[in-house]
Amino acid sequence: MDDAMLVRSAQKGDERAFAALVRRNERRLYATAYSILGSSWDASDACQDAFLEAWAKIGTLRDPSSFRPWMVRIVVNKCHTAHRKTRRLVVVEAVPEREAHEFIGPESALDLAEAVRLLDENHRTVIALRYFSDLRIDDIAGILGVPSGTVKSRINRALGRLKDSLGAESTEVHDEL
Amino acid sequence: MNCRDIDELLESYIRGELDDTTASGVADHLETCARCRVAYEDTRVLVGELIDLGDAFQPARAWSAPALARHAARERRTAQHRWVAVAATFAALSLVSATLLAVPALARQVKILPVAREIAALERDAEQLSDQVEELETRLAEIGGSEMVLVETEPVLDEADNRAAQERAMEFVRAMYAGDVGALQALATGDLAARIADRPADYLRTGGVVFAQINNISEMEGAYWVFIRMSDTVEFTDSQFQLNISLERDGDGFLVSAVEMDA
Repeated sequence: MDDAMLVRSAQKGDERAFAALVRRNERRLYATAYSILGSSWDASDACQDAFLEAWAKIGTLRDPSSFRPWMVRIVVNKCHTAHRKTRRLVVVEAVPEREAHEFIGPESALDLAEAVRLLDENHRTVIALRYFSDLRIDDIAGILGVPSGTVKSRINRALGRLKDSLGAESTEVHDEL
Repeated sequence: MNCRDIDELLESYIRGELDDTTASGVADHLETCARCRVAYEDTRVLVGELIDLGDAFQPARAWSAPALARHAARERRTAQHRWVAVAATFAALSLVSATLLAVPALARQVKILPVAREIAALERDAEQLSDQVEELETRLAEIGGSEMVLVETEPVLDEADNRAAQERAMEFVRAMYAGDVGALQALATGDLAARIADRPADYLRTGGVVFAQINNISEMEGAYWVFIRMSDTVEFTDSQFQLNISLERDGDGFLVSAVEMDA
C-alpha cells in the first residue's frame, strides 16, 4: 500500500493507517529535524508535535499523493518554532545525556554524518530536505520560500563542501599512514 | 554544453529529474569528458550515501502511539487548573527520581541551577550515565498493541512486570482521553477510584487528539512509575508535557494509584 492510499484511509479516521504512515516516514523525518536542529531531543519533540498536528489536519490535505512534502513542511515549521524557543533559553550547564536515537547505519557513514553536522544551517537544511526527506527541488523551494534556483545552488555548494571535508579527512588519514 | 553547465546539472541528472533533451546532452558530454566523469562518479556516490544516511537514525521513541484517539470536542480546561494539587509533590519527587534512579530522560527535564559544588556532582553523575549508556540494550516490544522501542537503562525490572505496568498505564491514558470515568475507576486503586468519583474532571482530558510515548519506567520500594511523554490538542500550542503514572501491584497485575503532570 502506498502513502496516498494510507492517507485516504487516515482521512476517513483510520488511526491504524495514520500510524502506518508515521512508521514508514518517521526515520527520514526525524533525520531531517535532527539535521536542522542539531539536538536529538529537540528533533524528537518537533517530530512528535508534527505528527500530532498532521493527524489533526490530515483532512485538509487535498492531494493524498503529496503527503511527504506536506508532512515535511509541518516538521520544518515545528523546527522553526523549536529554534525560536531555544534561542531564548540561557544555557547554564549542559547535562550530558543519551541521544534520542540509535545510529543504525554503517560505521563508515559516521564521517559523513559529522560532515553534514558541520555545514551551516542553510546548507544542512537543503541536504536534509533533498536527501533525508527525499523531496523535489520545487517542493523544497516552496517549503523554504526561496526560488528553485537558490535551492539548486545551495545543494551544489553543500555537496561541494561535503566532498571537500570528506576528501580532507581521507588525505589526513593517508598522511598518517 | 560545457563543463560549467554540467556542474550545475549533475545533481538533477543523477536524481533523474532532467527532461529527456537536457539529460541526453549531459550524457553526451560525460562520454567525452574525463573530468566531468570523475565529478559525476563522486557526486553519484555521495548522493547515494546521503540518501542512506537519512534512514540511519532510529528514534528512541515510538510514534505509532497506542493512545492515538479522536473524540468530539467538549469543554476545554487548562492543565494548570486540573493538576495543581499534585504539582508540589511532583517537584520533590522528580528530583528524587533523577538522583536515585539516574533516569537520563527525566534528568533532562529537571531544572538544575548548578552552583559550583553541584557541578562536580553532575560530572560524576555524567560519568555514571555514560557507563550506563554503553550498557544500553535496545529492542522492540509490543506494548498496548503498538510496537515500541524499549531501552533498558537498568536491568532491575522484571520483564513481565515491566510489560504489565506499561500496558496498564497506557490503558489509563486511553480512558482519560475517551472520557470513560468507569474505565478509569476500574484501572485504579480504591483510593484513586474514590478521588476520581469525587472530582472526575481532574482526570479527564477529552476533546483532543493525543500522542503518547512511554519515556521511562522505574521501580521504587515496590511502587512502579511510568513516565509518558504526551502531546495533545487540548492546549494546542506548546502541547508537550509529561504524565507520571504511579502503579501498585494487585495480584498478578497493577492498578494505578496516582497520576501527576509535569512539564
